[in-house]
Formats: sequence, structure tokens, C-alpha cells
Amino acid sequence: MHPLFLSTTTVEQFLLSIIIACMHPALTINNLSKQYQQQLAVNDISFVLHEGEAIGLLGANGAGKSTMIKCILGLVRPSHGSISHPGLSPAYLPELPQLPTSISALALLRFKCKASGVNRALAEESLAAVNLSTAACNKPIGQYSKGMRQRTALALTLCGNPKLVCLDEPMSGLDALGRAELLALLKGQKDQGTAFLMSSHIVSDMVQLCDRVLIMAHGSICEDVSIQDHSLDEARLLEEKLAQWTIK
Amino acid sequence: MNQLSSLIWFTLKELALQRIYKLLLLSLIILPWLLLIPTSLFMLDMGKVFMDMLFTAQHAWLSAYLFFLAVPLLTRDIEQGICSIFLTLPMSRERYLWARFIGVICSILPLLLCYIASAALAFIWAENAWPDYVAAASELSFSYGSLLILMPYIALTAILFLIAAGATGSAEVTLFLFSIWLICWALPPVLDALQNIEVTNNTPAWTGMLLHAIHQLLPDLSSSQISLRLAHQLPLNLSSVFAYCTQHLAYAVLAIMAATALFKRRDLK
Repeated sequence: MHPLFLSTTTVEQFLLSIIIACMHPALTINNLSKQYQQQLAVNDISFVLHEGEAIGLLGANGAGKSTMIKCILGLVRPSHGSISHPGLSPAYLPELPQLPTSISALALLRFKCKASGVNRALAEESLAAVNLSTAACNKPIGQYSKGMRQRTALALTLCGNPKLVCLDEPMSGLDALGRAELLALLKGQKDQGTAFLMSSHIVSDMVQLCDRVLIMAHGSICEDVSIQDHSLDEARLLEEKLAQWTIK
Repeated sequence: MNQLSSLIWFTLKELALQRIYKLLLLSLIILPWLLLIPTSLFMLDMGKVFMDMLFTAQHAWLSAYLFFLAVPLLTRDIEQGICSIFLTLPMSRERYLWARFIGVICSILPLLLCYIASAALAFIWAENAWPDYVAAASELSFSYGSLLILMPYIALTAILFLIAAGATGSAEVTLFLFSIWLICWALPPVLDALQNIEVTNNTPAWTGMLLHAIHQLLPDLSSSQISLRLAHQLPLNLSSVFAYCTQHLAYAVLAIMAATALFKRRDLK
């Protein structure tokens, strides 16, 4: 590789790190731990997520990704440490979104708008953004296919333009087209300044969205990897690193 | 306040749109008229018999409502993680539980009103058809009794929330609620039997004290014989009715407060 190219990349990295440092932190985690009786699910984790930044959580099953996300959301009480997301309420897309089945997607999103104090028209906009037709939106969620439910859950998460979004395995169960659509939607939100914390097993998707990837094993962050060019080579490299840490 | 009222309304809507709710509503409109058929088989006191049957049916459907609508709603919320939709609004766990509780109670009211209205019309018909056997203005006594019978079920709903706040699954919630429901119904006859001198002499004193203590701890599902007194056209003491309502409402408030304390400490899915 040409030395001039290398130096340009280094300058870009330097500038990027300055830009990120100047941004407001959307989420700050200090020494977070979660102990379940005999098992330490999350072990002394600290990091900062800035506005407009996307961090990926990569790790094998049981690495502590979901527990950490649930601690951030307040669903699980941390045993130790602090979590702060000043003025922002994190939106959440769970791995297997469960929704009330008797009401329609439109009613559910309208409820969210009303309870969050945002314009009700955002409900229709969010459903349109995930390509749910008007006819489908008015049917009870119990009659939806799996894909439609996931779209509804995504619309529910992104409704009201949240500034901090936690995604727990958002790509699981989606086909290639669905994943591409979801990534495009998330990238659009990211460009508008939304901060993302995403856990996923699909490294190639994670690399496309995230600026940094935290590799987790046994409840701890093993490595903090910056994503440079969002390429497949980086995805391969990450997979190798993940395999190394998982074996360790 | 906006969040609280939104979730109350949402709960009401969520329950009312279920098929089982609509079926129950339809059944409650038809039921009083169907109960006129067995009533007509009695020769005397048809008004009393009809009212007794209506009160019994009310106990049955209120219990069914709790087991088939309220329990699944709450266990789905906590077990499957649907509550995360509400809690990440963000909404405090305390507010979430209160809103769900009030929503469940509010969703009983349309059913009760339809039942009372249908029963009142059936009473008016019966008063005209059998004027000698059905007392005038029985529909008013029934409506009054119906509203009073709701009180212990408000307390029982609060107990359901208390159980669900700590339980791990629907089977556990159903089992505990059923046990409490059964004890609530089984204790009054046992305590009545203990009034008999012969029984008292053959029972250790601590047994009676223990049973009385448990009876005091649980809601009075037999409604302090209110239905019996109303069916027999006996007057109700206003201060007793006030004490009865206050006791059950205070019980419900305390149970929800305890449920909140438990729920706040819980890790959710």
C-alpha cells in the first residue's frame, strides 16, 4: 500500500476521533457489572457512546450482550456501576419482539406517540417507513406474519425519532432483503444523529452500520475495534478476532 | 398523568378487542334472560331465586374474567417481555402497574354495566309477568348488590398483580391465584361451622384463631352476605356498606403498593 494513502487514513482517523470527542455522549457506562446468583453476566464494563455513533456488541451466546442492553434500559438492575443517558430515553428493539396481539400496529404506535407526548402523525410515518401497508396497519397484530411483526416492532422502536437506540440481534429471522432494508433505515437514522448500540451475530451487517465494535466474552469487553472502511475484509478480521476470544 | 391515562385506555382497548371479551359481553347480555327459564320452574319467591342466580352467575363470570383475561394479560406482559414496550417509553414500574391495574378494573365495568342493564330489563319483565312473586323495584336492589359484589374482585385483582409481580410464569400465577380464590370461598363455611359449640369443643383453639387470621388477610369474596340480604329484601346498613367498600379498596391499594415494591426489585426479560 502506498505510504501516502496510509498517512491520509491516519489523518482521517485522527480527525474522526476529534469529531467524536467533540460530540455529546448519548450513553456513558462506568464499571457496569451484573451478578446473577452464581454467574457474573456482565463484568466491569465501561464505554461511552456519542450522538450519531453506532457501537456493535459482538460475542458468543452468553457473553453478556443482552444483559448489558437490558441494564441500560432499566429492565435489569445492575449489581454495580453507573449508566447515564442524560435527557435521552433509550428505545429498544428486542431479539424476539413480543407485541400485544389483539390491537393493530397503528393503535400500538399511536399509543406510544400519545404516551411519549409526540405528534400522533409520527405513528403513520413510522409504519410507512418500514413498508407496512395501511390495510395491514389496521389489522390486529395477532394476524401478522413474522416479518410484519418485526417491521411493527422496528417502527415502534424508531417512532418519535429516538436519539439513543438499543438493538438486540435486530437481524435475526430476517431474509437478505429485509436485512438490507433494515440497515438502510438504521443508516438513515444514524445520519440524523441517532446513537445505536447493537448486538448481533451477523458480523457483515454490524460492520456496515457500526463505527466501533466491542468484542465481548464472559461478560467483559475483550477488545474495542474501530471500523475504518466498512468492508467485508474488516468483517472477516472481526470474525477471526471473535473466534480467538471465544476459544480463550 | 398522560402516560397513566394512555396506558389505562390502551389496556381497556387491548382487553376489549379480544374475542373472549366480546363473547363474554354477549353472554352477559343473554344470561339474565336464560336464567328466567330455571326461575320459572319455582313456585314461590321467584324474585329471590332469580336474584340469587344472578349474583351467583356474577361471581362466576368475575372469577372467569380474572383467570381467562387478566391473568394472560399480565403474564404475557411480564413473561414474554411485552412490558418492555411500556417501560422503555420511559415509564416507571410503579406507574405501569397502576395503569395496568386500573385498566383491568375499567375493562370489567362495561361488562358489569351490560349485565346490570340486561338483568334490570329481565327483572322488569318478571315483575310484570309474575307480579305476585317478584317484588317491585328488585332491579334496583340487584344493581346495588352487583356493584358491591365487584369490590372483593377489585381486591382479588390486586392480589393477582401482587402474585404476578413476583412469579415466574403463567402456571405459577394461575396456581397461586386459584389457591387464594379457593381459600376465600372455603373459609367462611368453615368459620361458620366453628361457631357450633360441639365443633369448637373438638377443635384446638389455635386452629380457629389461625383460620380467622387468614380470613382477615384475604378479601371477602362472599361479600359479607350482601347478596343474601338483598335477595331477601333485608335492609343494608349504610355504615357497614361504607366500611365494606373502604376495606376492599384500601386492601387493593395496599396490595398494589406491595406489588410495586416487589416489581421494582425484579429483573425483567
